[in-house]
Amino acid sequence: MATTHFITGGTGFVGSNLILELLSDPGTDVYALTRAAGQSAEARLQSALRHAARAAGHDDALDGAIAGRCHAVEGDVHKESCGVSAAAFAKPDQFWHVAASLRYEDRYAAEIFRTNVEGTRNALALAHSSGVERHFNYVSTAYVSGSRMGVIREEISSGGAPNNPYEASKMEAEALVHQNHDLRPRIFRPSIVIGHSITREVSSGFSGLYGFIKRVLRLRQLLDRIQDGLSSRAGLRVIADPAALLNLIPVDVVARQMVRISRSRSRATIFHITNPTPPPAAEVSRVIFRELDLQSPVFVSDATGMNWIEQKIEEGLDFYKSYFRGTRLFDRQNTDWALGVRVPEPGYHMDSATITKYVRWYADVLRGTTNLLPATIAAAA
Amino acid sequence: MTSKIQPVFIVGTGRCGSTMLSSMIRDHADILSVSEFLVSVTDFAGRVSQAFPGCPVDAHQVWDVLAGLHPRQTTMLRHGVEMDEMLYPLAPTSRFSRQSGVPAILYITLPHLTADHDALFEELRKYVMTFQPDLAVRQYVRVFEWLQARFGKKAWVERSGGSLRAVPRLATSFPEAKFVHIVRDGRDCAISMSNHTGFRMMMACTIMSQILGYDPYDSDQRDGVEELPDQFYDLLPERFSGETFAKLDAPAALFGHYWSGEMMRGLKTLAELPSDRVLTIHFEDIIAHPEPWLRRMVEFIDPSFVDDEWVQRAAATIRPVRSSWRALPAPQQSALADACAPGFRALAEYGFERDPDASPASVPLFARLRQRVSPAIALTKFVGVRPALAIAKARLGQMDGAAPSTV
Repeated sequence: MATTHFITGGTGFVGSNLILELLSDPGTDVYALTRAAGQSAEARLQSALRHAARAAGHDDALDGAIAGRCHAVEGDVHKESCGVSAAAFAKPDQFWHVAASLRYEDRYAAEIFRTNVEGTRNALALAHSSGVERHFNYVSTAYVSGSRMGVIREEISSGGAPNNPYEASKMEAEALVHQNHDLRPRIFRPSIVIGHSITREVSSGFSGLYGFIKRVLRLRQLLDRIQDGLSSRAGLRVIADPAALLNLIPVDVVARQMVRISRSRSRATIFHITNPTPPPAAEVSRVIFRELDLQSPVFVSDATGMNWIEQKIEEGLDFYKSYFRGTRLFDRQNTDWALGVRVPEPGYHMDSATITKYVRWYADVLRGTTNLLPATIAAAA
Repeated sequence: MTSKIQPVFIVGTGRCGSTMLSSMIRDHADILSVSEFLVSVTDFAGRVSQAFPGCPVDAHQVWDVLAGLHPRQTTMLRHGVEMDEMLYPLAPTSRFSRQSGVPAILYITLPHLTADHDALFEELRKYVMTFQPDLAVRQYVRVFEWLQARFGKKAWVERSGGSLRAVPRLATSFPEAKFVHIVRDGRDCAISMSNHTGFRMMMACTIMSQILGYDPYDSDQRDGVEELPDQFYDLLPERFSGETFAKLDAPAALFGHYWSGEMMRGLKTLAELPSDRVLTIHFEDIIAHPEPWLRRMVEFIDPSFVDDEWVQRAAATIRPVRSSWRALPAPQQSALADACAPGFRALAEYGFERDPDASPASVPLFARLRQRVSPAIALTKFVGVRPALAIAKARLGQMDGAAPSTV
């Protein structure tokens, strides 16, 4: 049956993979809200989708579907009704709001709220005017649980305090979406989204785990700039809970599960798109340190006795602390019921060898793209 | 006008006490004291490739470096956080001001030589404009030799803070140069660097450049500035203020690690040079027994320059040392000792640990042996072990007759 989807954030990491998944149904057409940044909205969308397709292991066979069934609608979530008239696109069967700021720093709080809260308000307004009948699908985050640990239910308010402006903005945006019952909203909460489960590649938006890897690499490079070999001092102490689990989930698994739920008869509102068998955070850290040529960290429970280097590493990884401490168990009752399967996805599997493949792929990207230090400073220092 | 004396560089880690030597040498009848030239023209080591490009530079390019309003210096000046060592007077009647910026060579180097520095600046400009294209190093030597003649001296000695790290480049660019290496207790250097605006700025720019992959003071790029921690984000040139700079968290331990890194690398390079081109002096020895050590330094520069009256005058200018690691609380002392430990180990490894009872006449045997045989060890890679050992033996045989150049 022919269906039409409207999506915001279609050029981003999750959004582009969501479109690729939607295109797997030959009767689907996609309209994507796209900014014209340096090139036309249409060119930008097509380029981003082709790039995402390659990263997902598709050859150019999918390019025809991208060109023929994906249409850019020039606009911006920062504008009222996204700066778009509903007449600019066909009436959608489903509306997907994926666009978001993934920044988390306090100094960007205003920008984060403008994109994630006001942007959601604008997307809701556009959805209303578009006459969408079935569902407003909002892609949130599992970390709206904030500081809360233990079992996290698929409920609108988990009661946890936000760890940063990003989490706070997503909590507020979820509340907005939830109020719009007439749009029959569905809220998807992915955990830490990583590369494709087969290719390990990421097409854009190196945040989350990738931000952590990049930060560790930068710290290592900085230490060695200050003193040759400083980073290779054995046993850097890192505060982490050895029992904490890091909920990593591949982007194609996220896209596939969201699309399947959107086509299901589930009447639930909130869905945890999370890994039911996440790897220990300590194991992920060990792999990252090893792949970046650092000695394996020593996990400690507090900062007592830490030297200057260790304190700086703690500060540098500040945002990621909450993910490496405490244990969150994301309940998936709604998700599993909607998917109607009990056999775990193969992409869930995260042993050391699998994590290594993801980390190594990105470490190679960083080694290939990280700008060398300006020759000026390198020569002097 | 060509100097018959080998070029001499006084090198050391940051805040090793070498500024004091520049002030002393300025008063010497035969030696021109070129102070902070390398620091100024490279804008705190941020513009080394611009100041020393690999291709010939013409007169205008040389002058652009010498008279450049370099971004770090200019930003700091505009916000009132210039280095204490800056000598250009920012008086209402001065030609240059905080707002206009001060040309690099007028920051310290020319005012160090004369109170009539603005006139000297103009004279120098006219002279530089006669230059034909040549390598930058040779152009700067022309400048030094012109200043040497202008002030009636017989030799020049360049000294810039923290130039130990530049020794590999200097040794290559000036293959005949001699080096006076001033060594100071790393813990005191680190404390002093952590309080010094120049080194704080250098460290901030190093960290920002490392995170961004480009130098925000020399580039309009702003990709990835969101990656900067707050304190560095606020030190981008467009956001810089004296207040945020004062808040920069750059503890002594950080500079302790930096000192160790400088020492490890610098000692390695110096050890590869012929022993008669390197003189190592401990700052603490100069403070404790200035006259014999100052005499030894001048003798190393050129024996004909030894002047006991100058030695006495210079020794009389020595003032009490300000920073001492012993005044720190125990935990900070411990952190600092940990950070400086690799540097101290390197000093011991190369035979330059301080002996408080040492005199200029005494020579640590290990240091002498190492310096004598290290070139031969390096030769084994090219000529094999036996010929290299023969060379080492021959060099060791020369030891008794050689003047001690390392103390």
